[in-house]
Amino acid sequence: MESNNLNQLDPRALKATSVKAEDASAESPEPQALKITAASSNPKMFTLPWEKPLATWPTELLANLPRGISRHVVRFVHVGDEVYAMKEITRQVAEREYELLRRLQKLDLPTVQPIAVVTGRHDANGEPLEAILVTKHLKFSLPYRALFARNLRPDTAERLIDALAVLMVRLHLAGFYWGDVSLSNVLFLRDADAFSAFLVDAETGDLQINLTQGQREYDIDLARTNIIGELMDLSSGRLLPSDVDEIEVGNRLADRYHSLWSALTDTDKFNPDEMWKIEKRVNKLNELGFDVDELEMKTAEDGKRVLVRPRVVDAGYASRKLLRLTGLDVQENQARRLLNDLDAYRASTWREGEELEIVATDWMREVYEPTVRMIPREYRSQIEPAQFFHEVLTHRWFLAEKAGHDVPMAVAVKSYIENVLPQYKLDKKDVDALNAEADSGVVDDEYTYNESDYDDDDDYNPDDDPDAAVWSH
Amino acid sequence: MAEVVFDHVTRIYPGNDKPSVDDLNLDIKDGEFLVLVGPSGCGKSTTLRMLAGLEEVNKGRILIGGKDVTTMQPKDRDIAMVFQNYALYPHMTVADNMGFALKIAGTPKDEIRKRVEKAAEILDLTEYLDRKPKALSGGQRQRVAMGRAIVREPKVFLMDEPLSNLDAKLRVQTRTQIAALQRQLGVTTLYVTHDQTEALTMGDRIAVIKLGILQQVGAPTELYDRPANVFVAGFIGSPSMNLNTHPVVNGKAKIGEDTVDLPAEAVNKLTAEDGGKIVVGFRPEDASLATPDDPNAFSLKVVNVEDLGSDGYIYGNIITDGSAAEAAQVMSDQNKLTTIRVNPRALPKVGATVKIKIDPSKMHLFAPSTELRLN
Repeated sequence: MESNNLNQLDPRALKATSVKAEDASAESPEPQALKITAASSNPKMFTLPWEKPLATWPTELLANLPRGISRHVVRFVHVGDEVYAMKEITRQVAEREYELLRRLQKLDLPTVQPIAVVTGRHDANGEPLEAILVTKHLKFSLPYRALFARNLRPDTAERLIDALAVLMVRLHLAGFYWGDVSLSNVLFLRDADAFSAFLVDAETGDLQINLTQGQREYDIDLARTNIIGELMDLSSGRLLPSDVDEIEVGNRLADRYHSLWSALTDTDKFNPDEMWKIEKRVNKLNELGFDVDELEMKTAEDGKRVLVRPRVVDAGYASRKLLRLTGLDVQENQARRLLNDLDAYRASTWREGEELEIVATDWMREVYEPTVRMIPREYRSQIEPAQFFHEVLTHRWFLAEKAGHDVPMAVAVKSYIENVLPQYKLDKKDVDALNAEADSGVVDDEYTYNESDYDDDDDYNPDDDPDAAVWSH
Repeated sequence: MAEVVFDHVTRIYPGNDKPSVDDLNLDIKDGEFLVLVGPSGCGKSTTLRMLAGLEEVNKGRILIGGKDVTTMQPKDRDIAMVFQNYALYPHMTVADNMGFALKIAGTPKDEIRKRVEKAAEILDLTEYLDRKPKALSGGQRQRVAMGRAIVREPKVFLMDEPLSNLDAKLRVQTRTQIAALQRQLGVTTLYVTHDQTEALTMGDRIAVIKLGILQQVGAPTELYDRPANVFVAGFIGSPSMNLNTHPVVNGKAKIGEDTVDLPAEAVNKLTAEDGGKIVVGFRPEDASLATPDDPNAFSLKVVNVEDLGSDGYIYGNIITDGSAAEAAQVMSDQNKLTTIRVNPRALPKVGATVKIKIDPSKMHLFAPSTELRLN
């Protein structure tokens, strides 16, 4: 980040962290002893085998969760009750990324939560090891490849793209230039019938006051190329439905981005007697999930027309409303679905005159909580309660349609658990295969960098690739 | 042919008074590997990003191959940002990993194959083309990632600290590979780094930039042998050049109690603003131990010595008025001490006082007022 820009950044971002990525040219010496700068005080952090290269950490420490493709060695590690993602990278890159992620968090942007930077690592012989960036594993999230490893709706690729477009617009509005947009650098959370995307890799990013059009267009162009490449790869592994056109899906990103960007930032022109159109615009932005903070209104030079430009604060209109009413912190589309159910509950109990806050408390106790309590134990780490609730509602609707009459919630839950939920299970074989794939992209692992064993592997035949066999059925 | 021209280019960030890049004039010749080097915040990345189209140009023009691209969108400039974290795709073969971007662009299949094979040959990957990344070493994977940029055959490669996420050992290897590769390909390249060693070892020419202002452009040896000002003198070279300001007495530099001859044509260029002083610079390898009665040498109190086997280094303080210079300096880091490279078999003892003689032909003289070179 250019230091001369700092004084104009959002003060929340400025005060985000005490870690200031070192001035690379100052070449300050690597700390001699292990140094952990952490945003959480988990004492278990000190008990980890920092003196070992991450690739060799004992398996009992690791959480077997699917990883995305990365150039660096990445592992999920159990630390107390939590799961942290550890990435082995050079100190400068680690400190820089930690600092950036802290800033993005302070701006309430959807990113993984940075936990610590660990520097000054040395192995048993005193040889220096690379630094480790620690982030918190985003519960229930999945890398895009894990989503394609299961039978999914044919429009999955498109729904992921839509989520990524929203993420990019939000980051760009906040002044974040990404520099490396791809499906691999994002984690996805189910959000009712859609997905929400979270940034996981900020290595090439930069937080600025405003982005130039060139920076935004570059991000979009790179995203398009990377997405098409990622889908072509899935297609090579026979993981993508054959009727998906990779290039069309890539183009969809650019289209979705541009239409969302213009909905959020364009200036409208109205006649003074058409002020109702302003309300329409604000409603439309709310529907897209964005809150309007201020409206900038000025009269056009001819004096006959009003120019209106909204100042959009952030996404999360419905989720903030639900949080206020119920204390539930969920994704935007889930929140919308829950709010609708709350409305239906209010209507069905003839309480439309009552304050929503009071009705919400009863709805939580009588409807929401009894339902999500029924999630079987073995699925509790796989599906978010709000998503479970949403899917049960959808399932109940299908059952009712088929039966021709209403179906009680308890029946719907039971049927859903039996018939739908098992699709969520990612078994060990799937996870292992995904992680083997993820590892095959690692570049900077010192121990495999110069390995030449493969040269002897002359009878290698790509058609016999064991992975291909795993994926083909 | 793709020459890059920065023509009076200025970038001022909104809300700033001072430009981050100020009136930059720089030509990168067709096929040249130009390294832009300077400390953090000097404007080097801004310069690269202006060429990439990521940063607006407030004044001046940028030309690529004679074409004005100042307001053109990044994707229309025919440039490639090289391996910014290129990911490898596990199900695709090495050939597909390198060529998929061409496929997106609608390049005919046989043309893609031709370009991929050519790149693979240069990258020593020919026998792996049908394999998947899983069957490659980390180094080979890195080369596949480079291949992705190469097959595009862009007019210009842009590399912004591309080695910063590799650890020290891998960095040195990859540095050599990139430099060799660029020479084979002959694609005009702008490479940005804060590391002067990278600059010296890789570039055809180096441009040194400080606080948005271009300091000097030249071949590595030119910058090393004839730095144009005090900043370049101190920035280029490791260990860095010894630089001190001394009074000029009777046309000679007074170093402590001793005097050292100065060339008259340099002394004559000093002005009243210089206050009768001169900046004398010499590299650690351009001075040697002298005999106690050598008339053209100065005294150094030895603070530390290092024996590296092939070389020896003396770190010391210049002696003024009979005692070692400010005691405080003894405790400070070695960068502020005078450094001399000597034969490791003849290292003096710590605490000893030795006489040092500078090779007169390797002396760098600067005016204190302008910091510009005098000889």
